[in-house]
Amino acid sequence: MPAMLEINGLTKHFPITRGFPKRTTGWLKAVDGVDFTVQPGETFGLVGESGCGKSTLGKTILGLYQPTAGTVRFQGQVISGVSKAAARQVRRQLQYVYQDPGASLNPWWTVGWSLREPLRVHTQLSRQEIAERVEEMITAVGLAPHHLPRYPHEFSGGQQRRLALARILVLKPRLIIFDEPTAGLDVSVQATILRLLQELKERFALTYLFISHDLGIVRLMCDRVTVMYLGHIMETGPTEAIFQAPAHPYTQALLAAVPKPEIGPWQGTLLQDEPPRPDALPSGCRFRLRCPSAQDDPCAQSEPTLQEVAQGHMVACHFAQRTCDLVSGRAA
Amino acid sequence: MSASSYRIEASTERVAQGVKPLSPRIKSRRTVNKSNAPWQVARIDSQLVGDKGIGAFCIDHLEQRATALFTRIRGKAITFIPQDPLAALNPLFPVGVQLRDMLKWGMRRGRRAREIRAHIISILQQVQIPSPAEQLRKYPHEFSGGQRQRLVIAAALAPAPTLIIADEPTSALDVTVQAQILLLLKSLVQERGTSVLLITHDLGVVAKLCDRVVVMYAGQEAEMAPTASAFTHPSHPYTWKLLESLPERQQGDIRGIPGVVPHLIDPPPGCRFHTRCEFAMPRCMQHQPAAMEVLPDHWVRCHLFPGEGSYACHA
Repeated sequence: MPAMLEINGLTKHFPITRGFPKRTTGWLKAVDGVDFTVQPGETFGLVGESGCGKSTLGKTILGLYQPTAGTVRFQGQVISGVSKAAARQVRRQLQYVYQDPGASLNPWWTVGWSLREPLRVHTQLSRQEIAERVEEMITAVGLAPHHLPRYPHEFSGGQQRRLALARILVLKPRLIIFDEPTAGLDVSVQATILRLLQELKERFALTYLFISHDLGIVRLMCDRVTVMYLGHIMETGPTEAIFQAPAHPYTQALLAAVPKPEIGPWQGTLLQDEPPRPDALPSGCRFRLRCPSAQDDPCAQSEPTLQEVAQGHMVACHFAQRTCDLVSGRAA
Repeated sequence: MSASSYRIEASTERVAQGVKPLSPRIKSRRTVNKSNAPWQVARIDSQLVGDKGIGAFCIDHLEQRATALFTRIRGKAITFIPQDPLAALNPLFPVGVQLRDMLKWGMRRGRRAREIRAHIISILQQVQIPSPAEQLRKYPHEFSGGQRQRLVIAAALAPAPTLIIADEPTSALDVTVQAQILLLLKSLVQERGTSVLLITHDLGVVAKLCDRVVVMYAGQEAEMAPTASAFTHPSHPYTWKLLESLPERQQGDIRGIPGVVPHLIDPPPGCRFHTRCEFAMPRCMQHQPAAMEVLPDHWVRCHLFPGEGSYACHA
């Protein structure tokens, strides 16, 4: 069976322009050579700080941005750089949930109209069939058909997320990309939404790509996690391996920074400063300037590549193997 | 006044009524969990800023509040750290000018420009903005998100207030920057002995930062306790459920709280949480529970606790 999503060397550079007539003075490397594979039925997490290229990556996969280089394969078929008509066929099965679902629902349309719209665009179903499908999906997300004649502002934040989900599910997609699926929700509502996502995944045999900066949610939901920093993959592997034995100093710092709901001070090393601007990256390892264990050689000299330190656990750090030996030595 | 703004007005009055009996005074640092009703909390905040200034921010004296009184307190004895620093800073003026203006209002008259400038620079140093003298001429858009948050913290600290109200000061920031900012805020207020009222929905931030915590639900205080006590002995069903909903505490099936927060224009009778509470009894639908001190300084508003000082373990 081909992988649900296969990404090879995906790169997206944005030109930085200045003056009149416009000159390109530099390139902003938002996504810089990213490879990963998402298997069918998997929940794949993509984490990193803001500005690390997570959302750009999501939008490039979807074809909203044309990649500068690299390919995206969806179920074995190349979907990057193909014609618009061909891309539209694929996009039915590959859906994207935006950060703010309230803003992605048209405030002047009833919810029913918004939910029927994708079916009118993408399918030739009859009016009766469309109505049946919409009713099926609005019930599946925990709302009722009597909500259909209402307008988006009549719903709470959590309900708006459910509506956005229903609107995507009517097309029966295979892969859904979530960009910060629960940003701006209370923890109690967030938990109900996450539970719904798990139920829907089982019921409709979906594959999820989770883009989030909330490590708690990622740990709860994902089978595998990829940590990005300034457009590069720093570490990728099974969720428990990443959270139990993070091998990259950036992942370690990211985990240490999360305020855990337990009394007591922060544990571990906290990072200083903020990420450098992605248009002026340092030489060698791009994390070097904030890294607690960086050294002039080799960190400033060469950019580390992803190396496998354990089964399916890849780390882009010159000292990855040493860190892993330390961690396993401590555990033994 | 339009009809809709009048309705909001009416409901905030009810919100205020709910808060009165449980917390007559703000003591030191404490936290309100705002439970997705930002404007009610914002209004409560303005009510906390009530009476005679330092040491007596009494909510009981709501009726006597006067604009002149507020002008004496606001931005001086009590300052505010907003949620979104980009919206709080004027994009058309350099940050130095904005900080200077805030300080002119916040400090005693007759300060010289040079003194004010020196004061601003020292404050910016304290919030760890590199080479502050050169930053004064920059505009807000030239700073990163974390730096902008540091700027508004500097603005809140500059008049040497006794109370800082921080409304979700780090909700727009990444975890690594959030940790930096929270630790900075903590050390600065400890140094100066300033009290902070931190409004947040992140229980992790509460655990790391706060001495005491108030959990609010639908405009009422459900529970008020020292932070350690609230995390080890959560007593109100809403607090249990809230802690259970945290991704870090999930085991097996993900659990949240079913239902939605009630509409505050027409809140449910009796206990406001009874519509979503799995322990709801007939009594809960009719009588509003009174606040009970179940542990030292640990107050709960729930019918499950029959009498003063009785702590029943429901775990």
